[in-house]
Amino acid sequence: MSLVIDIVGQFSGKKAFDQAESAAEKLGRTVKTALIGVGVTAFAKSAISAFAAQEKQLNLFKNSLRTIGFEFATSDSLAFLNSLKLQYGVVDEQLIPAYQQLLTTTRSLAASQNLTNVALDIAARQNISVTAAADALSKAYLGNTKSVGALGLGISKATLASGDFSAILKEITNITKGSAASAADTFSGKLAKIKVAADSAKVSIGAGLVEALMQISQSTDIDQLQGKIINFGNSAAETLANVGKLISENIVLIKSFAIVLAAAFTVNKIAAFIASLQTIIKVVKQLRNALIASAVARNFLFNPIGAAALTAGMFAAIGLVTKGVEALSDSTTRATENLLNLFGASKALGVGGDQGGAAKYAEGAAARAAADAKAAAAAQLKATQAQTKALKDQAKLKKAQTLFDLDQIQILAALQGQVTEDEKLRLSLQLALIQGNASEAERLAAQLAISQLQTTNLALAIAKLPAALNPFRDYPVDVLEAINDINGIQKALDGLKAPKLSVIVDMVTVGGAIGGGAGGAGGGGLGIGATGGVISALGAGGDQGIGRSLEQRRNDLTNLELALGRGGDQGKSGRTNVTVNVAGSVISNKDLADTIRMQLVDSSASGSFSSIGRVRDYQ
Amino acid sequence: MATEVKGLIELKKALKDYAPNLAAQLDDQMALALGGIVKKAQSYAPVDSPLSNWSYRKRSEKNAEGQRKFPLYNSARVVKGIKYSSTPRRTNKKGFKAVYYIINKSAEGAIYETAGRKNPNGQPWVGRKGDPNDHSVSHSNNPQAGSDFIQAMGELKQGNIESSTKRGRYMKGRLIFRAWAEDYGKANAAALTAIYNVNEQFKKKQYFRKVI
Repeated sequence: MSLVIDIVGQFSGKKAFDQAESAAEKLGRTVKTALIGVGVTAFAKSAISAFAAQEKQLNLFKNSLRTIGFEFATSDSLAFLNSLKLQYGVVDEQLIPAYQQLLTTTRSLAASQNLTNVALDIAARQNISVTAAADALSKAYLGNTKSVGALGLGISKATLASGDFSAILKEITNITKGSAASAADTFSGKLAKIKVAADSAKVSIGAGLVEALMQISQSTDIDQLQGKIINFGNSAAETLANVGKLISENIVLIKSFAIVLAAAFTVNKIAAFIASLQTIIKVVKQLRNALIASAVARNFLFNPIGAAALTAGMFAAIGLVTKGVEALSDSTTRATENLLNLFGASKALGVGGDQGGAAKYAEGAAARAAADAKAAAAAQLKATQAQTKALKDQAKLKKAQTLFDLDQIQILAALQGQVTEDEKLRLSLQLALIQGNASEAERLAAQLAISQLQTTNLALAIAKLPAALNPFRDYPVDVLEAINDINGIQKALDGLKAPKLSVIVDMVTVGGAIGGGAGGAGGGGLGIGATGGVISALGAGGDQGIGRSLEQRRNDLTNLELALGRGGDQGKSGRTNVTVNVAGSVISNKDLADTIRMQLVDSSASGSFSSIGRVRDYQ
Repeated sequence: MATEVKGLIELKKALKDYAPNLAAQLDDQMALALGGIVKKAQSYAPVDSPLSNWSYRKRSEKNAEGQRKFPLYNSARVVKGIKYSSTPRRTNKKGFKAVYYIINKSAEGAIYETAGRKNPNGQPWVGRKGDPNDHSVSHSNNPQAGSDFIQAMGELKQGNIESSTKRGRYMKGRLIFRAWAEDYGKANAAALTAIYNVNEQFKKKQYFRKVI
């Protein structure tokens, strides 16, 4: 056996909704009476009890003030306490006794209010109740500093021993100043403030409920009213049992109605209740408009006994006294807005004191609505998918048709050949345009534009290229002069080659005696002698000597020829022209001699008179 | 269940997988927040048995059928049995799962905590005549036995704890419920603050990014 106290948890949902469904199934038998009756009673009890408790506390407070002679300050004190309560999130159960004790001790409104603020700071700093802090301060005010020392604020022993309350208070104020404000600004402090505000609302609603229910039930006091509320369950059961048959006949519509109804009345949370009212009204409208189970709606709303009685009382309490559903709807909307403003902070935090009833049941109804929406979305998705499939089929057919498009065939054939990248882009773009492929055409057009731009830029760049530079322009003058000198040397070397020489030799064939004598006397003899004379003349006289010698010899030979022709026995004279072509260079005398000799030999071999041997013989 | 925090179980799983240090931090802070309640509740367990004859028995601990008899009071066991846990319990019939809770584990502790809730003056007395297996009535020779037993234990305090399944008298007690009532919700606020802070820190670490 063990006892478990849940502190923090999470709603996992499934079981609760299952139970809600199950409850709806058994609506005709048990749920409708017990669930609604207990829920309404619990809510009403809670609100009324809160109101009654506060009223009792206020009466006690007034009496205590009257006792000490401060009755005139009741309203001011309550206003002060109310502001503190809302400011620091401290409940009346702590704040009022603390203030009361301090006022009783000090008998001064200013001092008690000041000390209440100090007590709030102490309580926030030391994490104790305000009443405990106020008690310690009261005792210290009367001279008993033990309690203040036990608070652990760090007050010096000397100060405590002195018993000087003003000094002690000053030190306490220095230590704890601002603690209450800081604590109120924390997450827990904000929660406490929300709780205080919710409690105030609860008390107000409780007061309204009491007023309304007392009017409806004609009760004279709260005790009598509570007795009637406790009997509510039975009366509600009787009322709903009368319409059980109608419920069973309209079970589908009633199911949602019951769930929302249960959600509204099985909670202890005002916001959830008010939020659920809208759904209730909607369903009630359906019931009424459809004239289905109109008795249920009428009983529920207007019957002064049972469920209808308390529901109407609640509506009256929140200012929703109405005789028509439409008016009720408008009022509920306003109440919802006010309560959303009230509990907005709590909702934003995602933390609430939900008891697992109303909010979750209301979520159940919302979940079904969400399921319907989901089904509709699924149907729409299915239709969209079918439309997409039809479009795809159409695209396939269009693609098949392209097999017979001559323009495309030509472009495709062209693409098969060797084309440049730019041409390929143009062809592809043309193909895309024919096929109506907008995205591809756009892509290719952009690519082609880039390509053209690149090409244009290249041409412009080439056109703007500067003229080629002379690489030798900046050569030094000395180098140029050196080149000219080299050219001159080359020319001089070319000039060193031997010129082509032509030697014309006039030969006269004469007798042996003549030849020898002539050669010896005048040097004009033929054959060797003549040759020797030429050679000697060349060697002795140089270029000029050769020129003159050759002229003289030519003249001598002419004269000799004339003389021989006139006086020779043989009467026969011949003149042989020997042309000596010197191939190559004649550098030395020997070269010239060899050349002449070879010519003479050739001449002799060709049948001409050979004077070589004879010349030799003549010698 | 005092407070519902949506997504708490998922947060704990995420912390365990992606931020073990934050998970440990949360456990530490929760222990700090709820530890005060536990200590205070333990301090309310009387050292001596509230009734002189409840702490010892002359005869066997089991009856003729071999079943355990009414548990005897043992202060140490009661104190030891009051503790806080962060291991989630099974989902209850209302669909709620307790993640953090305080448990009074010992039988005598539970008796001391809750005795007198249903019948403030003890169970109806029938004496030896009634069905011995009927535990809803008192079979004692003393018609005032139940009343004396409950009176000796002291007053039941309203715990100011709101539950998903139980209300009213089921929220009264002498140990944990009393400690909780006298705490005025500070521990609850501290626990929620701890969860909130850890959640904020986890979000700041940006473990989750929006894809689109």
